[in-house]
Amino acid sequence: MSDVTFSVNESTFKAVFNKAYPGKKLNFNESGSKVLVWLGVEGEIHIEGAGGIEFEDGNTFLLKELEIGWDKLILRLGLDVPNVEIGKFCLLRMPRSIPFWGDAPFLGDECLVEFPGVTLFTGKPDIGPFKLNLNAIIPYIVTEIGGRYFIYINKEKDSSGKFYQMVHAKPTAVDVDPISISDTMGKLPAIIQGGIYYAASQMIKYIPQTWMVDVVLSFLGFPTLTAFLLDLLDIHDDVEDWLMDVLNVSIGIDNVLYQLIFQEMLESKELFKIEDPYPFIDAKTLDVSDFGGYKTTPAGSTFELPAITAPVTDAAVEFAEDNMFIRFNFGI
Amino acid sequence: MSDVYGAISDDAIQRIINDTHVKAPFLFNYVAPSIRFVQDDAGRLVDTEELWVTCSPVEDSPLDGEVPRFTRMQPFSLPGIPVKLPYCIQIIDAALDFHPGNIIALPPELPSPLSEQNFSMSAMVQFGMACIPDKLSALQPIPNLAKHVWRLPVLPVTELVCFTLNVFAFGRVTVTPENIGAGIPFDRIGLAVGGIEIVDIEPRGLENVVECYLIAMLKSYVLPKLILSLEDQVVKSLGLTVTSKLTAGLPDNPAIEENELRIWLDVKVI
Amino acid sequence: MLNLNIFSITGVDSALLQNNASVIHQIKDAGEFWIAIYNAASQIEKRLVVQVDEQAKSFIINITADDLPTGKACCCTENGILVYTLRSGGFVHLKGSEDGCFAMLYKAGSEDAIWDSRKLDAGDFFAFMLLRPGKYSFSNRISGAECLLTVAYPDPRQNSKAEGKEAEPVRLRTEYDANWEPLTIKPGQGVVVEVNNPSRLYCDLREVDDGPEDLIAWKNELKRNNIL
Repeated sequence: MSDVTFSVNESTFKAVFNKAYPGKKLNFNESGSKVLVWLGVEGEIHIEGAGGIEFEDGNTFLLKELEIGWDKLILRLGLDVPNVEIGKFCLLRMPRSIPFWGDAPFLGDECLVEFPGVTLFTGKPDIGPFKLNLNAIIPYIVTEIGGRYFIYINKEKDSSGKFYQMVHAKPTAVDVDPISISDTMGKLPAIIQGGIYYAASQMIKYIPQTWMVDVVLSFLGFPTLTAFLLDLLDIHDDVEDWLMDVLNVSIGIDNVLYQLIFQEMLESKELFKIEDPYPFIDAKTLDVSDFGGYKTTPAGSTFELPAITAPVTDAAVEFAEDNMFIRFNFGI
Repeated sequence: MSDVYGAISDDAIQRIINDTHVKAPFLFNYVAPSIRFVQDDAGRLVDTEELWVTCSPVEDSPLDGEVPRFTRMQPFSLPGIPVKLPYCIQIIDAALDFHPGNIIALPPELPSPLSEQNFSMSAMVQFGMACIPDKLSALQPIPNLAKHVWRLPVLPVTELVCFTLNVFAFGRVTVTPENIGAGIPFDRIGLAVGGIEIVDIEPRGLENVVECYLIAMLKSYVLPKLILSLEDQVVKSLGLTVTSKLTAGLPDNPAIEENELRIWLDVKVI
Repeated sequence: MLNLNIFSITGVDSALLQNNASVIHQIKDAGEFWIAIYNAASQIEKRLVVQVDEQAKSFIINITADDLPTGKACCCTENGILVYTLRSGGFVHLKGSEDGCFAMLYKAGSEDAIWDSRKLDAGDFFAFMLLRPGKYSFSNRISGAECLLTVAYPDPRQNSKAEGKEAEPVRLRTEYDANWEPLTIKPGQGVVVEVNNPSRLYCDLREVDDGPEDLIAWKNELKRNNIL
C-alpha cells in the first residue's frame, strides 16, 4: 500500500486536460500541387479541448475527439496556364507508293511533314498565387481528430525553479480524419467566384485585345476565361467537394494538422503536479517572541520558518477502473 | 461516483508525525519560560534572561534556518502567589491508528478491537510545573533578593516537577453539511470521540477534567485539520484552481478504513 | 505572355515566310546540294550541305532561319559547314521565322540556284495559318489567281471543351489561270497549297472582324456577374 493515493475520474481528467491546452494559436503554411495548379494554404488553429476521453487500463488513454477551433484559413492558388500549341497539322502525308522508298519506316498516308504551329503563350503564363480567404466558411469545416496518449510521472523543475512530480500526457498516435465541409450556404461559391474573377483579370492582362481573347478561348474550348480557370482548377458544381479535395488530397491537411497537433502536445505542460519534496508544513514567517529555544536567536522581530518536507518516492501513475491513480510514498 | 479521491495511510501519518517531531520540535513542546539572573564579572545581578525549562531535553532541528524548539505559553498565576509560574507541556510520543487497528494497543478501559470507521490515538504527554519556594509562599521578605522577586514577571526556576500521562482515545469523523450563506454549501467536519482514557490518573475528577480538555483539543483541531489538509493536498495536486466539495451520497466520507483516511470530492475545474 | 508575335501577323507571303507559314520542296535527284537560308531582316545567310542518295535514312530536313536544321549532321566540310544526308526524293521543309526568311537551293559547285523559295514551283507545298478574324485577299502574285479568304470570328458562346480544338487544314492546288472559290477558315486552321505552277502566294488582310455586335452585351452581362 502506498503512503498516498490520489485518483481522478475521466470527467475531471478531461477538464484538467482541457485546461492544459489553453488555446495557443498554431500556425501552419503548407503547399501542394495538382496538375497545372499550385496550391498553398495558410491556417491557424487552436486546440479547444477534448470532446471525449476514455481511460484504458495501464498508462494510456484514448482521446476520442479533440476539438480544435479554426482561426484562419487562406487558400493560395497559382495556375500554370498550359502553353497551348495551335496550328499544328499534317502538311504532307507520305505518298502511297514511292518505288525507291521501299524501306521507308512510313506507312502510306502517314504524316511525313508536320506544320509546326505556334504556341499561344510565350514564357510561363503563370497566374497568381492569389488568395482565397476562407475565414467565412470556417464554421462549416468539420475536423475530427482523435489519438492515443500515454501518461507518465517524472520529477521536473518548473519555471520558478521548484521541483515537482509532474504527470504528463504524451501522444503516441494522433488520427486526423480528412476534413469535411458541409453546405456553406453559398459562402464558398461566392468566395471562389471572387478569386477566379481576380485570376481571370490577371490572365486577361496578358491578352491586349478582345478578339485575341476570343481566339484564345476558341483554342481553349471555353466560352469564358472564368470557365477555363474553373476547369483548370477542376472546380465543378460542388465547390465544397472541390475544396475538400484540395485540402485533403492536394495539400494533405490531415497530415499538416497531425504534425502540428502532435508537436504541440509533445510540448504541452503537465496535467498534474505534486510538490517534491512534499511540504507538510509550508514555510512561513513567524514572530520571534512566540517561540523559544533558537539555535541562534533571530536578530529581527520575525523569522522565516523553512518548510517541513519529505521527499516523494516511488511515484507512479496509471489508469484503472475508469480512474487515473497517482500513488507515492514519503521518503522518511 | 466522485470526481477526485485521496487517501493517506496511518503508517505515513505516523512517519510524518515522527519526522515533524524531529524537524519542528516547537510543535510538540509548549513552554512558559522561566528566567534566570545575569551577573557581571563582579557577581552583581545586572539583568535577567528567559530560561526554557523542560522535563525532557529537546534537540535542535536538523533543518537549516531558524527553527525554534519551543512554542511560547503564558505563565499562569495562582491566588496568593505574587509571581507567575512557568511550566511545560511536552508531547513525547504520539500515534494514530486507523481501522482496523494494528498500531495502538488500547487499554482495557476502551473497547477493542476498533469498530469500523474508527480511529484510535495515543499520546505520551509530559507536564512540568514549577515548585514554589517556601520563603516565597510565606511572603517573607528576603533582603535584597526579595525586593527583586516582587518585580519579576515569572518565577525563576531551573527545574520543574514533572509527571507523564499516557492518553488513549478513539472516535470517528462526522460531517455536517451546512449552508454558510449565498447558497454556498459547506461541510463542517467534526469529531465524535467514542472514548478517552488516561492511564493511571487519580482522582476521577482530575481524570475527567483532563479528558475534557483533550477531547476539546481533538475535536476542534487535530483531526479536522488533518482531513482538511488531505482535502487541500488532493485539490492542490490537480495543479489548478478548483472548487471542491465532499461527494455526497457515500456512506462514509471521509472514511477511515483499511488503515487509510480516505476522502472523496466533487470538483469543479475553473 | 500571349505570343503577340503570332497574333500580330495579319497576312502571309510565301516569298517571306513568317512564323505562320512554311514551304516544302522535294529533291528527287541524288547528288550534293547546298542550301542558303536568309533572314529577311538581318540578311544573315546560313549555309548547309545536303548529300542526297538512295541509302540515306532521312526523308526530311527541317530548316529555318532561326535554328540549326533538325536531324543529325554527319560531318563538316573544310569550311565548317554542316553536312546533312537525305534520301533521294526526300523533302526540305523551310519553316518561317519571326523576321521572315527564304531559302535557295544549289547543285554543288554551281552558283545558279535550282530552287528559290520566293518563287514556288510545281511539286512544292506552301502552308500557313491565320489568327486575326477578318476578310483577306488570297492571291498568286505570279499567276494572278485570287480569292476571298475569310477567317471567321470565333464566337465564344459556341465554344465547347468537347469539340475538337483544331479543324483539319484546307487543301488547295494552284492551277494556271484558275481562281479559287471563296474560302472560310477558322483562326489557326491550316491552309495547305499544292503548287503546280510558278507561284508567290500572298494573303492580305482587307477587313477586320471584331465579332458579332451582341457579343459585347453578352460579355458585359457576364462581367456584371464577376465572369470574364
